[in-house]
Amino acid sequence: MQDALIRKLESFEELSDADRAALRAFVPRVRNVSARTDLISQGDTPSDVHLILDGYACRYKMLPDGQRQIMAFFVPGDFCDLNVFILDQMDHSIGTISPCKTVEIPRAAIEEITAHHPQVTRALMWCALVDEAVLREWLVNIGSRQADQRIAHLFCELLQRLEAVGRVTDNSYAFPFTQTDVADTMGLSDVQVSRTLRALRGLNLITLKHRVLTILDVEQLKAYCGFNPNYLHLKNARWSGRRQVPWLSSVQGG
Amino acid sequence: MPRYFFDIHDGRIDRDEDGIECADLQAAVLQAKKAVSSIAAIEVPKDGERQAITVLVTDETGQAVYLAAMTYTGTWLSR
Repeated sequence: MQDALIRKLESFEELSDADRAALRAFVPRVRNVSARTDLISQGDTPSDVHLILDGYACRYKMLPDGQRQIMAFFVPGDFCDLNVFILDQMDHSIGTISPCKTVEIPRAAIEEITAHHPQVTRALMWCALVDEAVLREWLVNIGSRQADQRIAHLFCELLQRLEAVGRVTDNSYAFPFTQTDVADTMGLSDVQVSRTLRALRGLNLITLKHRVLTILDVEQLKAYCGFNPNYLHLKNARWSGRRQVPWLSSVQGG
Repeated sequence: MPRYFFDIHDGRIDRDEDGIECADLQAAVLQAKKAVSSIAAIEVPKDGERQAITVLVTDETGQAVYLAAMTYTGTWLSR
């Protein structure tokens, strides 16, 4: 299972044999978590870093009036908040959307490795930078795009992110999110989400059946919402050759 | 959970064939309130000085149970 982590990090930075040996030295715990379960909750003292191997999760915050805001989606290959272990107390929660297979990496292991392996540290910084870039784009999305473009943008982003880890077939991917999940992510009402899905279907841009989303015309959907994937940094010039390889497909079955 | 349907009129008619599951009528009414105000926020700046947006909520039997409406009137005071 360490290999999954090593491949993930190597997609950002070249690691030495010593780096790899250090990463192999600790034994991460693999957990199967059911859908709609918190990996860590608001108020908890964080101790582990979670890596998603399979399934979808999200970062969210509950407001006193019961309103939920989702700030990030995690797909296979994503760290759920890399630096979270530095915090004394969680200011938000991380919960699963679908059943997930996760890896828990103890705080001590991360601290030990980052103290002695600068390349690993740089790779971890890369992961954190990309997460921040996604968050910036989501802020733009919620603040400046209209409802239908917002949702189309999310569909395009998920397509790119899932494609990078080998989870897209014929422009289709698993979409376990409910309308309420999308509404709570995009700052929209459920009725608007439902209406937008109807409109995108009506334009023959997507179909959504049995929790599988199919993008019928990728180029047109991208044009529709002005999607530019640059913020995902999936084609880092330095490592573009290496990043063509969906690292996750090789670790299926754990 | 019961399913409610939200037909939107904002210059065109958008019939909701899928519906949304809501805990009860109270929750459906809240959805209608959120929807009508958020649709107005998008539609009003687009064009026109007179706009009406309505969301008609019907239950699973087709019975209309709630009507949410917002109107906008803009008046130019100088040209």
